[in-house]
Amino acid sequence: MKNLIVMAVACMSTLSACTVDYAQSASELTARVGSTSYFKSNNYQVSRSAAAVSQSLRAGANKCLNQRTTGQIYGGSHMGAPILHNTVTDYTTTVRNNGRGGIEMAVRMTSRGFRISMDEPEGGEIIFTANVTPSGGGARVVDAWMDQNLFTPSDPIADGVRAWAEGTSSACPEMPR
Amino acid sequence: MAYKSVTALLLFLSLAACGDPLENQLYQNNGPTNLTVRQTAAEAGFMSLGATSIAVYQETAEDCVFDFVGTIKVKSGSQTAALPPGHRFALRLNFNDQDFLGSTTNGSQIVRLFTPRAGHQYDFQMAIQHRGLDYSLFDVTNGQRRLVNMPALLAVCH
Repeated sequence: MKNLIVMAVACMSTLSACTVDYAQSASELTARVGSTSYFKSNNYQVSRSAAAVSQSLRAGANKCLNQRTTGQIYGGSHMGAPILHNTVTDYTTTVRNNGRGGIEMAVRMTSRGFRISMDEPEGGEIIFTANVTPSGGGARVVDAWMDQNLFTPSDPIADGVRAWAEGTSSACPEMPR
Repeated sequence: MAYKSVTALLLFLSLAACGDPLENQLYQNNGPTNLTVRQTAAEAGFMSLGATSIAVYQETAEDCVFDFVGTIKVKSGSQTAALPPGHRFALRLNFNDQDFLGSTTNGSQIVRLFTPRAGHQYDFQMAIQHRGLDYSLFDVTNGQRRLVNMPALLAVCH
């Protein structure tokens, strides 16, 4: 809920930034990195093989990144009283071979409720992607994400995926609610 | 086949209904206990507590058609349950934040399939952590501790 409030406040103050063209594929999301402050990216080396990293990301996606979140947010008002909205967000994730010895992961978010009012397409949008390729004796991971919380320096999904890639954790990141 | 897909989809879509009255029906089965569910951490966040539960759906005579049979609520410590071996279950794992009045505010739901084997004992660990959640099911029969794979509902019931 805190994320939604932050996003709502941010959108009200910078309305033009909310009329973004929502990404419908991993490549579209990656291409938007740097275009506005909403799209960010990491590029890091992992001292594990691309096959091992790919396997960890597949397992993590299977375990964690197909889920539903529910939340509540105040938005608008009726006779001076704030209206409480229920939000339901579904996350579905695809992992496929990228043809370069690794995998490409794409997380799609489909939400109902308050976020729809911000021009989100009916089929949702890709909010995170990660690409794994062999590099030296290890693997290189390049990710990209649509920032859900402007006031935190990192993204929970990106952090969680990095922990999977480095083999330090198999826990599930907190998905935006 | 299409109606099975619709059934699976409807189940998935209905699983996370806010304020679902089914949530209050506790899972009960007088058979031999074969499952222990533990909440190992509950750090939901500011002004809220973490609460985990498992809504249990048992497969009917029809493939990929499930009926709700009750909820295993896990508070502090652990909870035991008896899931009839050889039957397939859809387990909706609920990771919720509750306010100080006990009302559920935000939550995450993950649906997995599980078929307990006869004579086996299982240990299910669920945790709400800082910026995330975790869960693992172990087969702990005869002192072993082997991770059990639970496929996603929609990966099996297309």
